[in-house]
Amino acid sequence: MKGRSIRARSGVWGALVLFWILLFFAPPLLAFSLEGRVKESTLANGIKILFLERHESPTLSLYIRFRVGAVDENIGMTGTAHLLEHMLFKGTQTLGTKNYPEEEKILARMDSINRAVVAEKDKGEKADPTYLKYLEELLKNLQAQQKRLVIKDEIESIYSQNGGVGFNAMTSMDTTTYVVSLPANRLELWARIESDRLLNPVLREFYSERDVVMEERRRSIDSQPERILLENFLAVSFLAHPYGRPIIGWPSDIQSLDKQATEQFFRTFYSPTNTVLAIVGDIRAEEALPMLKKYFERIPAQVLPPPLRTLEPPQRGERCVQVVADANPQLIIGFHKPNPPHADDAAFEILEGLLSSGRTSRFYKRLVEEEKIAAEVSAANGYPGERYPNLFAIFAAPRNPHTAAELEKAIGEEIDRLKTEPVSSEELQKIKNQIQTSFLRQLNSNSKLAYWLSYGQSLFGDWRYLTRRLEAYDQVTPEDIRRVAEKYLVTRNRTVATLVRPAEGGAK
Amino acid sequence: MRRKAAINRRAKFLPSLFVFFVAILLIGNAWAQDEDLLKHPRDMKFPPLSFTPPKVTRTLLSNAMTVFLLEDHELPLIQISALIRTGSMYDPPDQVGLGKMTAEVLRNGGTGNQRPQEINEALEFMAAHLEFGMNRESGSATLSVQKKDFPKALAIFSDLLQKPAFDDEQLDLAKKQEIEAIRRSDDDPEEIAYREFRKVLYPGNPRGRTPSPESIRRIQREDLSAFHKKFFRPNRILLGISGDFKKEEMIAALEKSFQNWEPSFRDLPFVPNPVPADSRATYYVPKDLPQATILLGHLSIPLNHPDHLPFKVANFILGGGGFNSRLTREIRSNQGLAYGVGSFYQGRVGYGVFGAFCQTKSASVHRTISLMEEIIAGMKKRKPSFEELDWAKNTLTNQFIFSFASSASIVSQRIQLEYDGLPEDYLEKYPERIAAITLEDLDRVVEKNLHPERSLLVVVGKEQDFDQPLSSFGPVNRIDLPKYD
Repeated sequence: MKGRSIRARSGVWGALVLFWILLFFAPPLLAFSLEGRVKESTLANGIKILFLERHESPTLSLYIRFRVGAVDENIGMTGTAHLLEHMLFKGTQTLGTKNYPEEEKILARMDSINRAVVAEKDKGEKADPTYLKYLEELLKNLQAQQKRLVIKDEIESIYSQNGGVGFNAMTSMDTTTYVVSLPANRLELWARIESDRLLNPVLREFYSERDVVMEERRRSIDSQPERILLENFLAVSFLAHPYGRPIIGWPSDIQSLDKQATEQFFRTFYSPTNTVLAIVGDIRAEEALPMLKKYFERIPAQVLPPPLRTLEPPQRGERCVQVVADANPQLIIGFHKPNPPHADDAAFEILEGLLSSGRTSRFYKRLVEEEKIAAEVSAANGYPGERYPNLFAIFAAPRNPHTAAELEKAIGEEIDRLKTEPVSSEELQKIKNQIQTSFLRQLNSNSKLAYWLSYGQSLFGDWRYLTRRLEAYDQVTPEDIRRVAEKYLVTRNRTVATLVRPAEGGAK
Repeated sequence: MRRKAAINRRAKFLPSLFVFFVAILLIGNAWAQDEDLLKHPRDMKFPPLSFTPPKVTRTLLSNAMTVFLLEDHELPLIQISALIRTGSMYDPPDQVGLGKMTAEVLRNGGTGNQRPQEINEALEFMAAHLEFGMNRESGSATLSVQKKDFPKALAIFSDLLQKPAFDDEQLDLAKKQEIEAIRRSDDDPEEIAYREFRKVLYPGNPRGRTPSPESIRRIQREDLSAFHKKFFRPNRILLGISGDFKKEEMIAALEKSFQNWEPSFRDLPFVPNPVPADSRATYYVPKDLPQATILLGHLSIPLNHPDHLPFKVANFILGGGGFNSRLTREIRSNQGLAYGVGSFYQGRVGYGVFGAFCQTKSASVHRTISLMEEIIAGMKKRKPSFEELDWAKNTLTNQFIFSFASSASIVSQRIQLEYDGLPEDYLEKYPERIAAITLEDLDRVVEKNLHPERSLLVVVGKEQDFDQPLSSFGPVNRIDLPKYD
């Protein structure tokens, strides 16, 4: 299906990415297994470091993943994890400034004036416009003073001049990840900069960055009807659990995010025990470790807050939601299901392949090729995250003149077929082959390896979980497929979201 | 806020003499560490890396197909990527989309020996990826497969290339899907903006044409066969293979697979280079959105122009170099007016394209366009500084090593160089050519190649909500999106 599935289920929001690549490992390829090649170290403060040596070229991919994401935000402060990710590019007490003590004084005054602005605006209609104007003038002056002390985007400048590529960060529901690739002899530069970002971050230019994020939201969601649909779909799917909230945040929350609260979020969650470093490439782990300790052990150990205890209550009946937009129709169907390591998750992984992987998948053959009613159909297991129970989701677009309703009905029939007809061993083997080969294809990229090592460690506490997961995929039987389809893919557990034109959805 | 943690070893009070001695060592150690730790990253210097990328073998098959080979035995995988001397710029004016349909149905339409579905089942059972594509100025083919399945996959790949059946049902499907994609392209403001920009950038040139439902409907099976026969010839293919194989065996396998394929030495049809516009023009596409998409630019110098690299560096400083480039710093970082903003320069064979892009909320469209134009024109007034040039040069030369991060990328770059007619040592010479660029070079290329006075401006959005009407930039040409039934 040539990447068609990507559009619906994940948006690339520049720095903010709900990074959705499937990971595939499998037992017949254990000759290429990572066991014995990955070296692990835990620092005194709890930071986990994973090394994987590949000497194909003198480069390194460097990932720092924190087990904190949008799911850790409280109501009213959605978008904090993502804004914080942006803010950590703004520098530290030594990076990005000509004179921090001077700058600090100005920043403190700006913060207190901003608090006064918020307090005044909170009065609503009674707010005094003259006073607000006065405060805004003060802010402007301070901004101009501060600007003279700032060295713009110094971290990026240093990395790029040192040959760094792919300097970026990603915020997902589950984790936040900071990445860069560097020439292999620059590891210490990375350790110096990244440990400083964790020890002495300065959230300078906070208020203008909020505006940048608002533009990011307008670009990636508010100007993309299918993304608005996705946002609505998640909100309706999750009544209690924070998986129902947008990673980038609701517009009103973004506009009023508070700097002190964002700093507090940083101090709470960017703790060493929540931190995984993955270093893949042309490196000798034994030689690098003492240097890494020197920098990263400066960060003090700390206690994490209690885990999120909110559980999504079982769904009691079908939920439907419409989004009215002047755009071509789209359809999303979701079913609640357990997250890994629950055994049923593996069956859903296979199911995803059966239904939508390639031109021989069930959805493609029937809906695209034979009946020609769909422009695209794809399935995704594990949406929108994997730390907590999640969804099996189907994204579909009808081909004109066919309707979302027709497509929904045909998708429903394909799902029901799973409950009655056992999957042939050949079809099952095909998906398992695809899983193995996809795994193999990931192994020749430093950055993909760093991505997955840090992912497994961060989400499941052990990078080996990835291998175990592949073993679980390989053990899925036709009966497992039938059983999970019967158990989870049922009407009362279903949420359907459709994008409709103004005429169909009533008055605009 | 957490600085204390950095010196926690010094805080310990240790009573006994022996322990005191140890403590002195620790203190010394800690001080030494602190010196290192306080060293500013700006001042951390590293020697340049020496690295010789593996050499690609180039050879000609007996049917004149050019083949590039690079062995890489890390994983049992084999990867083919090919460029074909064709492109959608060769589409007939009344059948725009023919090249794309040819590539699509070449992949999906079966061969003389096998039905489309049999081919898909075979490929997907071995988890092979095989695709054909059509760009404006080239065609492409890729295959990725496990070593053990390579012979089977190569047979399918070479059969499809040489003896496509162009199955009628699959052509019907491809046409229907393409028409649907055309309808859906209007749901995405960026897609609209780039499409309309191309149309006005290449007026009267095949590169500016875009398919319509009508042009797609006119395409018939014979047209695909004719297009294939004309362009898909071994001597027009640059085929690269990397992965787990032995060169001699691979060459023998390729010779055998393609031995009956006839080269064609007829000239490719002539496609003129696009002609630059002589005055500025504004185009407005109304769409009910909270944010406008802005694109402005003009034609530029070709890839083989002596000023290509200096202008690439100038563009890096203007808006191609990320956060530290002028457009991004001012419009995004200083003013918070955009998330996505920057500029691009692509040197192609015979011509080039320069442009700047931005998305901003409706209420700041006029302000942002004015700023973009001011910053572009500002390259001539506030000329690039030594620091900017140094930053750009360091970045481009130090990042260069990543061009060789995988054997597949080494091979595909080599193919692209030959396709574009660049010398074989282009990559080798690249760092020194970047290093030789001077401030005078930048002044010259900026003066000669940035033309805000004849830029084409395309804006997609809701003008009623803009801070000022677009007519403040000159007469506005309104482009209404087509209404499909």
